[in-house]
Amino acid sequence: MRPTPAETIAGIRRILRDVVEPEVGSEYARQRLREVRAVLAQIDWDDAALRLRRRDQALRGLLADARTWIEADPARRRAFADLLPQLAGPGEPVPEELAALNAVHARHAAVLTEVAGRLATWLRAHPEDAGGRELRLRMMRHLAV
Amino acid sequence: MSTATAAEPGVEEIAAALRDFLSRQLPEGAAPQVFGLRRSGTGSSRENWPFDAVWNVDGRPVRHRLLMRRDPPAAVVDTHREREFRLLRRLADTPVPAPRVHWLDDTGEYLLRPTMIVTRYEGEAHRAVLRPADPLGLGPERQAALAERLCQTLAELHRIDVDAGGLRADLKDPGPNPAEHELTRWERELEAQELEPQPALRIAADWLRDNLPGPPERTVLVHGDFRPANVLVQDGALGVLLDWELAHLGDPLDDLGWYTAPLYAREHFIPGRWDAEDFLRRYTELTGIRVDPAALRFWQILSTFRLAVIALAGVRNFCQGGTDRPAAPADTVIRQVLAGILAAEGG
Repeated sequence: MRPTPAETIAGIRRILRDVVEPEVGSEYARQRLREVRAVLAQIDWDDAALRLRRRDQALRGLLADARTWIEADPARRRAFADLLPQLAGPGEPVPEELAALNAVHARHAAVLTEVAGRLATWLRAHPEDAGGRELRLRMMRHLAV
Repeated sequence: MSTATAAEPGVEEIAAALRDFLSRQLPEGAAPQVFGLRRSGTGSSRENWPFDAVWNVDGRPVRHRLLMRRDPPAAVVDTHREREFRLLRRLADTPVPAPRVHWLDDTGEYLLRPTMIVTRYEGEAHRAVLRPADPLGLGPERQAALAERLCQTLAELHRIDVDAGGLRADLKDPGPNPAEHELTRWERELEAQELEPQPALRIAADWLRDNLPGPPERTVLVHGDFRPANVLVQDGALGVLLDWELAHLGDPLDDLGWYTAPLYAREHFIPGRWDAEDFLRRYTELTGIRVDPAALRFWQILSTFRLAVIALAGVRNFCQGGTDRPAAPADTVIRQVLAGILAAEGG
């Protein structure tokens, strides 16, 4: 596949810099043009969908971890019972198209947000729950990369 | 004006409105004229429009260098310009080098959008002014002097007596614990700005709430965006402290956390010559305010959280077509928030 998306964007950035920018008379428009070039450079155009898929896989893993942690204790099962049906099952299909994948990712992110908020409340009431603290740390480590 | 759309007035219309506005503000017979009005490339919460105005003073025409700071159609930070205007008026009587404000059209009745007019100063601001590339050509000695002057300026700001200075009348009381107040404020902003769920920032907010520092020894005037990028350098030295949109009453460590946050350490310090430790030691010498490391860490993480929320506001504005500032995903700064928490947790 040539040009790759990244090659296309790199070429467009070069044209914007070498051809368009010298012809722009307004200071304001020149500044916006520099920002456009910078934003184009910040995005991984070739791997955007792959990265989204990897991020969604990480969310599924965290939701599975949360399910395991909840199901390991009767008190947790009671406290988080309403969330269990929303936690990702192992066989859930991965969409092939970006828009569908984005929607699934957003849904998983919403569930993880809910789980994380409830986990924080749980840990305030149960500071001795080392497994819960470890789960929260695992969430942070996964989301920090 | 190239950015004007069909719904937007052109620069000639804005200049005419400005001339009429000045006529209303100035004594009869001043006969103001406006020259060189244009939109500059800077400003995200406000549009900056430099211009010169000439009006008669004691019968003679006098030229004034002015700047029109105008609300954009969609700002990344919702600010209250009347509050900022009154604050800057009060700061004129302090050692803090704040811009001089002249007039305010708070509703946009005369200037088509909410606008304040301030003095336009000579000089240049550059976020990398302290870095080895030395974009303003200061040289190592003046860079070091500027770095220390920044610390002195922040100390001067935090030494203002907010009670004697009347600031409590203009700025919101942050309550018994400014840390809790600020966290709540930016959590609400996150709620309003996120286009998709942000579990990383929600987890961060919960961590911050579980690690709130105690109240400060004293409430101070917090600049809210204190950094080298927001100082105008004149003749090689600090001239004016700019961008007061986020100013509020609060904890002095609020500004210190932002200034010392790892995200911008390379821009804020000079390695081996003026490090964060030097800055904090000098700050304490000048203010008497002790800096608790755990509290500073909290504020460093909260300030990065705040930056992430502002980035998400930029993304929202961009995706909804409300701005001409392009925005990339905010992932990098969001990851920085969690990296700060993980470092605080020991990995």
